[in-house]
Amino acid sequence: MNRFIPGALCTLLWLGACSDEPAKEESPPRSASPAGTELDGDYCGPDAQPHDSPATVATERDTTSNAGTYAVAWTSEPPTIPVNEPFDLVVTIREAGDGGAPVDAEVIADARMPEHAHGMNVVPEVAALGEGRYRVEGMLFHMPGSWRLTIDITEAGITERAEFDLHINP
Amino acid sequence: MNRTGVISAGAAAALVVGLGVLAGLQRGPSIDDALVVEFTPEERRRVLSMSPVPDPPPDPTNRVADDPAAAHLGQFLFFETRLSSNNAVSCSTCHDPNLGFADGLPIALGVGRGKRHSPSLFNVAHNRWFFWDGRADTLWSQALSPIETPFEMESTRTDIARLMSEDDELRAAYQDVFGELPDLSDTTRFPPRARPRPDNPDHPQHTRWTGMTEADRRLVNEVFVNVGKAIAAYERRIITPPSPFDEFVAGLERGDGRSVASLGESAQRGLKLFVGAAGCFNCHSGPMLSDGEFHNNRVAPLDDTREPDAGRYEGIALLAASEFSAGSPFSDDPDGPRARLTARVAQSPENWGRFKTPSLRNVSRTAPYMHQGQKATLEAVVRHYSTFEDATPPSHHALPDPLLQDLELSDQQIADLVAFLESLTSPRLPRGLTKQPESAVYRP
Repeated sequence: MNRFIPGALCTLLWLGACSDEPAKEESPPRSASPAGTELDGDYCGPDAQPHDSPATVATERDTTSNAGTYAVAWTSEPPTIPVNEPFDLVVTIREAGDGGAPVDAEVIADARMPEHAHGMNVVPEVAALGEGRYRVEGMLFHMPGSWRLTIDITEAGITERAEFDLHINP
Repeated sequence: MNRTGVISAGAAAALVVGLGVLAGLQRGPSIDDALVVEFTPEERRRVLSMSPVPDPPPDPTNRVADDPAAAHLGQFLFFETRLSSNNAVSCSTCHDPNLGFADGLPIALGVGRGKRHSPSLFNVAHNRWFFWDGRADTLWSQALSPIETPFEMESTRTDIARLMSEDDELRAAYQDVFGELPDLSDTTRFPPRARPRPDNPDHPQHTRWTGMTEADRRLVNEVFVNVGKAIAAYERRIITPPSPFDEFVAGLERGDGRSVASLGESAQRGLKLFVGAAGCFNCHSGPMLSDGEFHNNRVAPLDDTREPDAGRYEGIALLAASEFSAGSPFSDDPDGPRARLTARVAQSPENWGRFKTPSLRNVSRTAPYMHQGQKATLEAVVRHYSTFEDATPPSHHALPDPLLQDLELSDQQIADLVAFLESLTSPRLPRGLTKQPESAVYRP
C-alpha cells in the first residue's frame, strides 16, 4: 500500500523498542541492566504480546551503577508513568551486594529520548529523604516512546551512573 | 385458531420482522463493516487517548477562573475595543470566533503588524504554555500582554484600570466579582499612558509609571491583573463540542458501528497514519492533539525580510522576567504546581527556533498554519512534513531531528491525513458565547 511503512514501523511506531540494537548515545559503560534487558525481552521477544503489555513498560526497576558500586532502584508516583504529565520518582541507593548499606550521596536525575536526540524540557529537583532514599520531583516525559532515565551518584568527586530504559505509551 | 387469529398472528410476525429490520437500520453497519483499517494494539491505545476533550484543568492561579460573573465580564472585555489605544482593536480582532478564534491572516494585524501568526483559542485553557514561544505560564497573564504590546492593542495598564474605574457599568461588573474598586480618576496620581517599559527606561510611558507611588502602581497592577483573570475565565469556556472524530472514538470503544462510520474511509486511513507510520502522534498527542511543548519543525520563514525568530529560547527568558508569572505575587497560587513547573523549565541551545505544537482541534477552521502562517492549507502542511521541500536546514544549534525525516507520502496518503484532520471539526459554539454581551454586568 505504501513503501515507507515497513521501515518506519520500527522507528516511528515502536520507536525503536523492537530493534535489535537500539540507537544509543555515548554513555558510560553499562553494567548488566535488568531494566534494559527485560524491556527488550518483555516487549519484543518472540513471545511478546504487545496487546497484553501495560501502557507504560517499567514501573519499578533496579539495576547496578556502571562501575558496580551502587544498587539503584526506583518507583514512580503515580505508579504508571503518564505521557506528558508531571510525575515523581522515589530512588533508593544502597551499596551493591546483599544487605548493602544505604548511600547518602549527591544525586542528579535526568532522562533523554535517545532516538529523538533530546531530553526533558524540565530539570527535576532531587531531595534526600534519608536512609539512601531520594525524591525526584517534577519529571515530565512530554512525548510517547523510548526514554532513558539516568541517576548520577557522586561521592568524593567520583560519579557513577545508573541507567533505566523505559517505553512510555498512552 | 380462527381466521382473525391467523391474520393477527401473521401481522404480528410481520411486525416483528419489520421492527427487526428497522432496528437493524437504526443500528447501522456492524463495526466490522464500518472500520476499514486495522489498528495495532498500540495504535488503538493512542486513538482512544485522543478523545474526548475533557473539562479544562483547574487553574488555582486564578481564583475567579470558574466564576460565572467573571466569565461574563471577561466575555464583555474580550470584545471591547476600548481596551486598545485607537478604540478599534479588541482581543476578538485577532481571535475572531467567526475565523476559528484566529484571524485568517498569516501575520497578526492589530494596531500594527505583528511578528507571528494569531493562534486559535479553541480549548486554550488546556494549554500548559501560552504564545508560540510559551512566554506566559497562565491564561490570565497571556491575556494581559497583547493589551500593552505596541503592535497589538497598544494600551497601558493605567488606561485599562481607569477605564474599569470610570465606566459605570464596567465598574459595577468589576466590583461584583473582585470587590471594591478605588476611584482612579485623579490624573496626577494615575496619569494616562503610563506603564513599565523596562526595555526602554527613557520612554515617557515608563517615566510616568515610575513617577507614580509604589502603592498606586500596585493598585493599577491589581486591577489590570483582575481584567486578565476575567478574560481568562471567559476563555476557559471556549471548548470544542464533540467532533466526528470523537463520535468515532466513542464507537470504537463500545463497538458501535454506526458511530465508527462517523469517520469515512479516507479519514480512517489518515488516522492510522497519524497515530502510526507518519509519526504525527509523537508531538500531536492527547485530546488536544498536542503535547503543548516546543519543537523546531524546520518550516522556513514567511519571507526573507524577517529577523531570525528565537522562539522558545527567547520565550524562556521572557517567562523568567515576567512580572505576572504563576509564581508572582499576582498569582493566586504562587507556590503551587504551576509555579513549580515554570521554575523547573530547562533552558538550552536546543530551544532556539522551537515553537509550540498547536492543537489540531478545529484545525480546518484556523488556516493559515505555522507560527508565521507560512502554510495556507492543511495539504501544504502535510506536504511539508512529507518532503521538507523548501524547509530550513537544521539549525547549527540543534542536532538533525530524527523525527523530521522524509515520509514521501503518496497523494492519496496526503488526502487521507487531511481528511482525518478535517474530521476534528466540531459544531460551532453557541452564539451566546461568541459575541459581546449587551452588558458587562452578570444577570443570571
